Amino acid sequence: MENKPTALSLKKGQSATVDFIESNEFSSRLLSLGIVPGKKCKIVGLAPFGGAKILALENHLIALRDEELSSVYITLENRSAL
Amino acid sequence: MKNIALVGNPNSGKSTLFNLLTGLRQKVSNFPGVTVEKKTGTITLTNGEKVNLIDLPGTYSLFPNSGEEKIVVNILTNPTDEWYPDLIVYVADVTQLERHLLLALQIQQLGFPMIFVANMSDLAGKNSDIKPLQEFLHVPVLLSTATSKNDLENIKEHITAFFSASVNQKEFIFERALPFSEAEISTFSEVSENSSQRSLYQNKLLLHHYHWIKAGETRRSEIESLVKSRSFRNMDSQVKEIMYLYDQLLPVVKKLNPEYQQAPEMSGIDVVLTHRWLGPIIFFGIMLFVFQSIYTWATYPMDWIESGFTVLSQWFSGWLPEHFMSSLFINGILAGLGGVLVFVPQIAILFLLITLLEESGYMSRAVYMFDHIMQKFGMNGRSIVSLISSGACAIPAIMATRTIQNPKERLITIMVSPLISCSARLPVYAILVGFVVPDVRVWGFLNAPGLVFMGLYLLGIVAALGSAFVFSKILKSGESSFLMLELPSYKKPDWNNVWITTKDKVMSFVREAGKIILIISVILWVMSTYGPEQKMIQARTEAINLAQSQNLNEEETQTLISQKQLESSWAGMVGKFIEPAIEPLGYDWKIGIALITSFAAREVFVGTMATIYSIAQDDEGTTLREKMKNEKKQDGIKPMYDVATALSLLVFYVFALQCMSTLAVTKKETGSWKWPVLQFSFMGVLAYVGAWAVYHIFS
Repeated sequence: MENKPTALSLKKGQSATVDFIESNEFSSRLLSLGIVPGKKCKIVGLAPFGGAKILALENHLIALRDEELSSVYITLENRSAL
Repeated sequence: MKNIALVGNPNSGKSTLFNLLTGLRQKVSNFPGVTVEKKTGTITLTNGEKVNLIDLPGTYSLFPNSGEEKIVVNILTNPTDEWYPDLIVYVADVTQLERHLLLALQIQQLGFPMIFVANMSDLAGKNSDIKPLQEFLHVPVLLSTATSKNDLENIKEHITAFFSASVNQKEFIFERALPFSEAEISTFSEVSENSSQRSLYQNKLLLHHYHWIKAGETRRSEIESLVKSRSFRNMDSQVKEIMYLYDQLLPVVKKLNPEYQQAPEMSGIDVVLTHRWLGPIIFFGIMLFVFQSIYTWATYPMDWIESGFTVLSQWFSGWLPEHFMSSLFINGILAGLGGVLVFVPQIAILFLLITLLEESGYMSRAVYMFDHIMQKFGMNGRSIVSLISSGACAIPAIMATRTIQNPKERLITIMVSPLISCSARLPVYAILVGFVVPDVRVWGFLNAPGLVFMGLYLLGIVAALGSAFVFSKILKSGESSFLMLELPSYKKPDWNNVWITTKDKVMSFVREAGKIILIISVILWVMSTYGPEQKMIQARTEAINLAQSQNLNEEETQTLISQKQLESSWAGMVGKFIEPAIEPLGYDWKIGIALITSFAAREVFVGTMATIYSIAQDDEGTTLREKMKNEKKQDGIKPMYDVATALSLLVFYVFALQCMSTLAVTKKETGSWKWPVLQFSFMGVLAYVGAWAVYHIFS
């Protein structure tokens, strides 16, 4: 599991698909905010003073701290699709 | 009376519907034991019957992260709760159905009768075919736009139909069931004796939340041992349930809106407003406007209120007979009432603007931008709005912390906000700064008093952040801190909501904090007007004799009497009594009296000093400074107000919580006397130590 990328490793503008959510105290909240396996997602903003990013989903935006992003496991979008 | 609960996600338009249904017949109070707003009201059904309506806090699921969300779970799982609903009106935003349906499905598992209101913002719902939704939920689904009267009537008619049993109530209930395994059913059944499908899910929630849920209070240890013996995996089970529900609802959402899926993108306006450096610049621009509004514009209505009360008290003193009761009424109660109402303009203006920012969706962007930096001081992105507002007045700033969900972050913001120099400190700074530095220019362009002013403001800011940091290390945290914040799409604020929120804030301040302010101001008035009878009479005679020997006119005599009587009053006695304690700071008993009376409000310092130095009210400013300049220390040679004493007093006023209204509001907002007392003490210690250090460095 260490090798699996999380949303924290996404650069701004980079797209991915949500793979699964790690089971911890944040998981229900992340899921109920629509961060669901199979969804396309993309980092669209970095917080001015660091520590948080904006994750865009298919029709809404969620602001997440870095440690919250690291609970969201992803599959990077195919290089050829870029 | 029957209960209806409004349930839905945050940003679902739930509060708008609540305001439309109840109008002005709503009551804002707190849920017991917590300072989470509880909005309730009654609605009259189309058949004339009345029912209770409660607006439950917005929540994403029945697996809560915050105290607000826990309240929802506690009410919905506890049939003995006063607000346990007979009917749930579920509100969802049509454009966000995917997330907003999740909670609805959980509610259905609890077996509640439900009316599903699909809320349309201005953009969506042009071609809304709600049939698939109706077929999926098996309960009445109503479309609603906030602006349409017909939609509102339609909702009311459905509620009426439900309660008058003119339709089969079964049509409102769909008992959705999760596909439990044999093992799960056996575990869940053991939580309670009866085990219908409805209570099975209830029991599941008890297993998830046994350590805090009210419904499981009496059986906590049994449920805990069940969780352990069956190795019930809380988080895994939550994830499994949510994933199952998404599998159920996603096909329906896609059927409703085939073009639903979009590429994950952010709108152009958000790219600018949350930009790494444009974002904060715009935010501070907006905050400058907010600050300006409460700092400058509020002074006009505040002046009207003050002069209104002056006229009123003059009118009463001309009309009422000279008597203790008249004096109590005019100088105690009426003046106290004026002291309460004078805050209303600032509170109203700040909440008007803050509600606009919240309603439009901008506030969540600000929270996101400042989350990290405020987190370092144990606070929340929202705290920055309170801290900036404190520069005008801590009262509305402390009230504005309501929207901070994490109790620890909110408490820290409340505790440190009064350290930011507010507008009431200005008159005190202004009178004292002249004793610290002469009015000269530094390096040709900087004004020396201006520099001292800036230093005082900076001192307040540093103290606020420093104390916040210390509090963040000391205070225990009941809830985990998280951001996980939805940035809703921007929308036009609903003026009805803005108006109702502003009105509620003003009313709750007047009602709750007003009482305390009134009582303290009456006490302070008694203290500074009355004293041991013998001494007061003696002071009066002395003053009159002195005035006669100096050939003073009527007004000068009155001023001299006030001075002598203040000295002999209870406040004067306390001032003299504390002299040994404040002597190390460079103060005498005269300053001691001013410290006591200015607990009412810092600016009272100036008025008290004027009385002490026997200055007629009209020429307070310059004359007072002259008098203070000529005042000598006990040795009769050195000036009383040298640089060290003046600086020491300035530092004292930067730190000390010389404001009863702030204490009243902290009591109101924390719900306990513990926090205002702690706030007063820690700021007092800071003030004493700071003033002492400054005095010793400079003398």
